[in-house]
Amino acid sequence: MGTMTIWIIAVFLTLGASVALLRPLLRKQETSVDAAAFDREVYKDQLEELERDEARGLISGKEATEARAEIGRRLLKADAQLRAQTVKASSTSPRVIAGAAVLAVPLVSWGLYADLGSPSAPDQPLAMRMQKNPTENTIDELVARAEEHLRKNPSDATGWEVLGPIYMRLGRFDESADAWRNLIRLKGENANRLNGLGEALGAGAQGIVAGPSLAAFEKALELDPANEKSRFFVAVGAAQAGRLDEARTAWTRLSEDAAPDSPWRQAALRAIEESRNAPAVAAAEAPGPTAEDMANASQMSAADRQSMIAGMVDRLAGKLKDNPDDEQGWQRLIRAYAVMGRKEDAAAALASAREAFAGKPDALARLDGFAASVGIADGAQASPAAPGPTAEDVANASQMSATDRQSMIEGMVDRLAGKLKDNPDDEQGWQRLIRAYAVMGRKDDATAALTEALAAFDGKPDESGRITAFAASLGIEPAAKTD
Amino acid sequence: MVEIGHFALVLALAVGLVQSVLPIYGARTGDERLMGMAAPAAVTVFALVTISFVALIQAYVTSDFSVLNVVENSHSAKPLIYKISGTWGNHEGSMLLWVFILSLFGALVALFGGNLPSSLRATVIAVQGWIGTAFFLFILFTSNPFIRVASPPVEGQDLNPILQDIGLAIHPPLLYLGYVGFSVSFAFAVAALIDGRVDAAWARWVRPWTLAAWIFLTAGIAMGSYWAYYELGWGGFWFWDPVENASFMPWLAGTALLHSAIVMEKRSALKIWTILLSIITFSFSLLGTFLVRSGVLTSVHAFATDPSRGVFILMILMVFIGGSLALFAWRAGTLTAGGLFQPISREGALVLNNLFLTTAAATVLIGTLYPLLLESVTGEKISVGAPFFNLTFGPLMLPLLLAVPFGPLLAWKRGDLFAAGQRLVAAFAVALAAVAVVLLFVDRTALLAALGAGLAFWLLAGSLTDLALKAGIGKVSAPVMLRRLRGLPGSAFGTAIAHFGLGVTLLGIVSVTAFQTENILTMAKGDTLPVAGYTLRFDETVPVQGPNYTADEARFSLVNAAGKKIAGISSAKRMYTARRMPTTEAGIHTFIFSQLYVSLGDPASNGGMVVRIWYKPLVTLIWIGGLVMMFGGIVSLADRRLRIGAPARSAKGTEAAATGGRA
Repeated sequence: MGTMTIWIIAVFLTLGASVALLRPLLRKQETSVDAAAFDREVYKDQLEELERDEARGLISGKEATEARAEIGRRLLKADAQLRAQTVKASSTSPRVIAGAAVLAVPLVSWGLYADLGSPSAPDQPLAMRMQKNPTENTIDELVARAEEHLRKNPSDATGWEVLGPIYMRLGRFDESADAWRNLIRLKGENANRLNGLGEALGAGAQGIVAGPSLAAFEKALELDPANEKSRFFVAVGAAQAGRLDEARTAWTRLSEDAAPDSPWRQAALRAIEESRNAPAVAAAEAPGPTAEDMANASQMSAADRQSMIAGMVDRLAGKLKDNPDDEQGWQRLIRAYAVMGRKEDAAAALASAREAFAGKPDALARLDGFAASVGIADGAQASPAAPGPTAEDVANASQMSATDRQSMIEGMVDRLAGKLKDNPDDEQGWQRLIRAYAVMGRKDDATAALTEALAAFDGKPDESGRITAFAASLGIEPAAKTD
Repeated sequence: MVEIGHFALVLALAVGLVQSVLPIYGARTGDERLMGMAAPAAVTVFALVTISFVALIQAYVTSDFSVLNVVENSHSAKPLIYKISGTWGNHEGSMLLWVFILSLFGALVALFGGNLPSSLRATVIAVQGWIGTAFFLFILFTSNPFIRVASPPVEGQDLNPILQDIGLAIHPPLLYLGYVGFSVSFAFAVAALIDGRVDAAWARWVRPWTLAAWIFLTAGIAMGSYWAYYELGWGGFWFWDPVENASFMPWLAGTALLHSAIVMEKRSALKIWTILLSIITFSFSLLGTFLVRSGVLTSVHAFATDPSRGVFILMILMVFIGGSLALFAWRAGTLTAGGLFQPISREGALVLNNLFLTTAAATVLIGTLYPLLLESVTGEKISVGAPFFNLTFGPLMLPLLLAVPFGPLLAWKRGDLFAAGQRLVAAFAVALAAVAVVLLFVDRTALLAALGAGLAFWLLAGSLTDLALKAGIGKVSAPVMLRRLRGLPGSAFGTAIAHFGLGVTLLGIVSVTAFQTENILTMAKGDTLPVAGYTLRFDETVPVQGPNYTADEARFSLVNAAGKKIAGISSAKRMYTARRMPTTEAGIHTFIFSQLYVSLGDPASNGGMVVRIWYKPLVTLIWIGGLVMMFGGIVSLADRRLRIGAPARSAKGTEAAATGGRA
């Protein structure tokens, strides 16, 4: 049902209601029947009932006589009342009052609905969503469709093959592992499938490559000794188990064997670097969505991909606002931002997470370790050292076009600017906005944002001082005052 | 369709505002046309709320996850019936059901109110409009079920699994029909107070509406009790839980109102008391809604941290309860008192009934609210459970139940207690016999149970005595008796049937409380247990896949003394996948009035299952009694006496009325 139809129906409903209310007013004024006349009806009915009861023998003759006398007295009283009363003259012009009231009906209803309703939101019955053109489906809907298809045809290997990486991308690690297992059950083992399984299991175990996860990578390596991904993760497993030398050796060999443009070469080099800087266990990371997964995602339309990413991340961020104790959730959010190349957001998320876990050194250490592993440090500058493909690698591999990325970032920045307009007290938000504009080269916008921010914090020297200093660090100066 | 529903609800608020103001203004100024707007306004509001309610149901049925309320309370794999019942299985939807039923009653008053004086009708409908407007505002601003989600998920969070049950699908509508039905008597009471006069038609109207609400409330409570019995897996039928008490208080007050309305209708006495009772009864209904809906019961703390809803309901409570009681205090003096009667009379008996029922309601109120008050003041959490209620409620009920058979036998105005006692000798003998039978043949030590059974039979035999006497037993021949019985008014039958139902329920309660047997044991495959003269055998455990749950179903066979299997019983533990919530499904085998109840516990270490097995003698009588009471209410409601005509309307109204013409 289109928006137009809804308004048309609303017009008819309003009209119908108003006419129903107005009709009594159009009638000729009737004389009112006095209430005493109604009382008489009741008393007469009571007398009849009394006779029936007496005839049935339900009450004795004496009781009936008494009751009859009592009702008779009431009847006489009502009669007297009727005679005493003259017909009431009605008030002069109720039509004006009533007319005004009826006019209020459309005003109140349309005004309130404009505020509360979402007239442009169409109905979205599930069945309809599942049947529309797949290019118009969101990623969630596509997954649901694939799931429904697989419920009916559980031995469709292609379906599981598509779903495995997508689940991984959506953070549904257990389901991803199940999908890979199903695929392996149907089509047998190969390195790629085992890698997928190992990765899903590892992610499900908060990034620890051990037990079944490590076993899957090792099996993959057995089947394909040259597989770079398997090699990389087996080494991660070794590092996490404390065998740093062994891991470093494996990474070094991997970096030598791999083609120069292979993401795994970069990843291995960074892992070596990281293993020198930090204890291996602290660097234990959840493997982010990998190049492959992003490549899979990139086979969807650009619009799907965008809505998929933005929707997922926004949901997660919203959840964490309500429930900031979810350490794993913060890790997922940071990873998501990092993978999308939104390093500033990732850093901001890390900062929020650190705030949420202030006073819990264990959790803070884990968060820092994790963030470092995906190339995010608590601050504006991202740490370059991280095992695993970084956001840049991913962005390259995903063949996301430059314009796509640009529009995605612009959308994000616009949203932020809009939010700040409603909620100008968000100091961090202003800093993020200024930084975003500065990074994107929109210096004028950055300056304008700084001016706005300073106006918002007028009279708060601490905040405005911090913002000015922050902007200065990005080369943004307040606009010269024109007075 | 969703947005149409939302718009219709907003429009209903706008029309409700007109309904609240113009008719009563017309009634005060004597303007027939403004009063005439009451009925179309009420009917319009009903039509609009219906559209709105249907739109929400449609969103549930089609799993439209662009509606937040559907996302939070539905799941595409849920069976259709629970998709529909999910509409009112949550706060927002149930509030929409509440106003839907309220507007239904408003429309019914409008449609059937032709025989009411127009100013009374206009005022009553306007008062209903006030309640409706308050709830429309509450829904639209704190509990809007039509809020949309920008990017709809593909799956909902499912309805709380313990609500996915046929019992709870129909329990809320029945309960609300009861709660909201009392709004009609409330509106009549407020209208009488505003008018400063009680029309003769007042009691004739209030009694059937109260009766209708009472029937639904009885059904709702009985349904809720049976649901708790089989779904929660504890095998109890009443827990004195605050949620149950919330519905029990209006029932007690409503039962009192039902009886005082009889006095008012028959004798024009107890007018002021009946008006007060109407206010109290609906206040209990509002309080019940508040207790269950504000979240105050789950946690006083949670209520204090997110108070927007609770505070709104609290304001509604204060305005309607406080306002109507203040109005009563101010205006009650202007009402004229009615007929006089002796203490020993039908009226006196009904006053006694009222005293006990209202005291009982107050007892329940204290037991329900005291823990809440204590928690909000001192932070201490206590629960007032069965011991408190057994000590207070029980002793209050005992004299009331003893007196029940006397009431209908006493004459109006002046009764003869001794004569009534003489006529009840047979019933008393039956009760004594019941006591003796229990002591001699069931359990020699169960004196209390025997007395309880005696009381139950006293009620049963007493109500039959009432009918027999009305038919003229001992005075006329059998064919005449039969004819007279057939000629009895519906209300006489209704009274006897409802009192009989009370006895039936009491018998069930006494029997289960005193004589149920409980076994808790670990059973492995093939184990047997002798129970109630049969043998229960544990056959197997099988996994079952439901539409939106998986279950482990344990199957038992019931074997009689000859070794023949007479029934299979299966009891299950379900796991609802969406919410990861387990439920127990008790296995119940019914032998007419008694039941064998099998509930699964956890798997034992030796591979068996912990199983709780109850034999509950005569347990179904508890709910059958409720059905009988309801049936009594329906028979009474069908009484022709409740229909009266209206004086004809003409240009010379008074003249026509004087000739007594009927419309």
